[in-house]
Amino acid sequence: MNLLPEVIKRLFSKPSTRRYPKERPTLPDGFRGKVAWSRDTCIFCMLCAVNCPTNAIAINKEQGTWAIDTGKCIFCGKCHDVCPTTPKSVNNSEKFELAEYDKAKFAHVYKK
Amino acid sequence: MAADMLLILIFQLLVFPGFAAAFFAGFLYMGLSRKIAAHMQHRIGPPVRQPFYDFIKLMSKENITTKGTIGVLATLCPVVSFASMMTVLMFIPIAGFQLISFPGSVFVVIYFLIMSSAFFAIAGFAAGNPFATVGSIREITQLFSYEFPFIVSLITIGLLTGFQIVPYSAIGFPFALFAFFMGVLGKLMLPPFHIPEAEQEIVAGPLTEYSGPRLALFELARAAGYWTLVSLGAVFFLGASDIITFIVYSAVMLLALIIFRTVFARIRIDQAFRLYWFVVAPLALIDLIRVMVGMY
Amino acid sequence: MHDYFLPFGPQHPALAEPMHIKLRVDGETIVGSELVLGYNHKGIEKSFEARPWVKGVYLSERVCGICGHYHTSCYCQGIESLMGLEIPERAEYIRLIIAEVERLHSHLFGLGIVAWEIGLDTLFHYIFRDRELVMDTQELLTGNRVHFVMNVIGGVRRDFSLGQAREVERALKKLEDRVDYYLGIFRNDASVKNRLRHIGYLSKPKAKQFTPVGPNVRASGIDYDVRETGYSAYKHLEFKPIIGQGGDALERCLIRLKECKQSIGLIRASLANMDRLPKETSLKIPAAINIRQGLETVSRVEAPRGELLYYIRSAGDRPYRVKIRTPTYQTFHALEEMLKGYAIADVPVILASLDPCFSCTDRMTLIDDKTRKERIVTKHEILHMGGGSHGR
Repeated sequence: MNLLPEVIKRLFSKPSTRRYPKERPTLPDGFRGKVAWSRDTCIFCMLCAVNCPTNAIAINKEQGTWAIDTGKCIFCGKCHDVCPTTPKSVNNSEKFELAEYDKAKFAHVYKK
Repeated sequence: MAADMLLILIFQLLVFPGFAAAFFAGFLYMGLSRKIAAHMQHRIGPPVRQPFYDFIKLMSKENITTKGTIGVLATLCPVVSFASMMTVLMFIPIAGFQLISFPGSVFVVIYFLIMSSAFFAIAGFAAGNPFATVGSIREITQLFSYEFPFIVSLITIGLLTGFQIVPYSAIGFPFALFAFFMGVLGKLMLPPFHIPEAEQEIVAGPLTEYSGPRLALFELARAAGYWTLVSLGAVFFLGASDIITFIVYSAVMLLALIIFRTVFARIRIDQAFRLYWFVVAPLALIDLIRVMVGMY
Repeated sequence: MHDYFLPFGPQHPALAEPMHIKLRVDGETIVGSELVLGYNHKGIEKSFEARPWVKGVYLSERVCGICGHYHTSCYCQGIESLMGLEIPERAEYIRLIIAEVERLHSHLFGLGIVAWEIGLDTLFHYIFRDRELVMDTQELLTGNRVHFVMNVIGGVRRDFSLGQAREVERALKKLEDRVDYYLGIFRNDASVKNRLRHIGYLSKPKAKQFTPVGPNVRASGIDYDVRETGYSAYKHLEFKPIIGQGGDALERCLIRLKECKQSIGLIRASLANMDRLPKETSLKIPAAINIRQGLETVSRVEAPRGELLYYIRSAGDRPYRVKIRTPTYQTFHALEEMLKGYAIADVPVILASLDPCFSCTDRMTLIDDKTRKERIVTKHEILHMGGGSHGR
């Protein structure tokens, strides 16, 4: 019966459930979401593409496009770590709602 | 004159407190139980209408009979279970509506309540699945455990009312009330006595192989069980005589069931056996003896 | 009364992951059991051999979700010892803090599952609500709720800011109160003790015979904790393993709760010690690592479930063989002994009290289709199975 006081107390307090998607979570800094490039500072050194553990990044210097395959990405942030520019040109953004019905939509291309 | 009475009879059977009331109120009790338990656990839980949705969904599914199941028995058991509960309902005076009453109706009530649980166990045996068999064995063991104090408590109050179900306040007999309450927990398979249906151990117990309309019928039988037993408690043990007291006492009874459900862990079948026979039964007997020798 | 077989799993509501126990049951009493694993086999040990050292670190994290950081720590520790590196002290402390936070997460998870298995889902929901505090802390410190990717060969990737340290302290304070509350429940609640006391008893001699690891063996009175060897930053902190004498499921749960409190203390001490250290969090390592062929090492850490062991042998720029001996695999040897004589109702409780992690555990065995005989696979066969990335 030890749970009884707690049970009665919680009956009259607000539930802990977050009513997603109406209530959004607050994400901390440094959250590792979808990869995004900063168009102005990138020098196309290709270090992020080379170091990606799963080869999820494809960069085309001539066309000025950066492509991330969200299906392959493991959101490790290695691309961010190896980027040589200051400020860093590739970041893990705060986007985490990345589900798609069509697998082809996983490959996201950013244009310059 | 006879036509009037026939109409009233049909109304009572089909609408209130019969079939329709059992359906709506029973599922409402189940929904409320889940909702309030969820809030006690600090979450929001399913909507109160959820058991209705479940029933409709299950009725619309395909009726599959696996190879080891005795199909006829599998369909028959929930129907008999439900029908037994409905029969008990006819004897309970709810806010003035009472279908039948005669000296000795308490024994008929006891008989049909046992039958309801027994057919639940038979359903498990009919399934032909080792988990269901274990669940049914536990159900029968549990039946043998709680039924004795349950019967004693009903007889205790029955002695005071001429063995008819009439509104009677049993507050002066706390042990009988306690034994009745423990019996209801066992019969409805609510925690801490949700042993036959222990999800963590034997999948779903007797109901393991049931899906679709047959499971819907079992849910209906369970809803009828909630309505019948809570009403029986409110009337026969707490003394509800009109509609207001009926609603209030039913709510009290339901709340007590919900609190027990939330606060206790599941008890093992051998421990339940010992608890009922060595703790609850002697207490119930104390009150029975009190009534028999006139000390009240 | 003749006995019959009750198949426990692989599909079972009590199990989060598939495993199969063939229970021989007499009425409701268990007279024998046989463990059949293999449903979760992912082929990770083989995958290591195809990846250079740096990529292998990401793979090692994914052996398990609840103890991922321990796997990377163990792997990185092994590689660092092969290369003869000593990582900066700050990195050691950060590894320890993340490790202890993950230990909190894992223990709370295990206790919640125990609460659910005994039928008290209210306690399950309460414990998981408090586990969210730990998940939020993990997200704050590392950027993700599981799979932290904090370790690199040579140190850690991130440092903690002052703001983060304050947030962590706030969360720890709340957690401490809650852990005290749960200690009270597990010690005093009659219905909880009813299902946990004297269940799954493993006596000290039997524990010595079957050698489970982690809180399971510490509950039987045996003093065995890898943190005593002082790896990582444990050598700078005061640490004594928590031993219990009960040997039953209740004792295992209580030890886990006490270890939660101990972890909170260790995190606080580490945060305090870290203040005066230099800011360096990792050594500068070349991108392509090459270790002399044939060098081998064994690396051990104390994961929440017990001793985690990595055997690594180098083949130059990648491992030749990585053997992972996870704690649950070791603990399962004692499972058969712990189940004997108890009721069916106790099987999920005993299993949950061991806090098993099936994802880490799976191994495979070769069964000859025609003769139906099992045989042990030799090291040579494993290395050259599946096309092999060797031939060296």
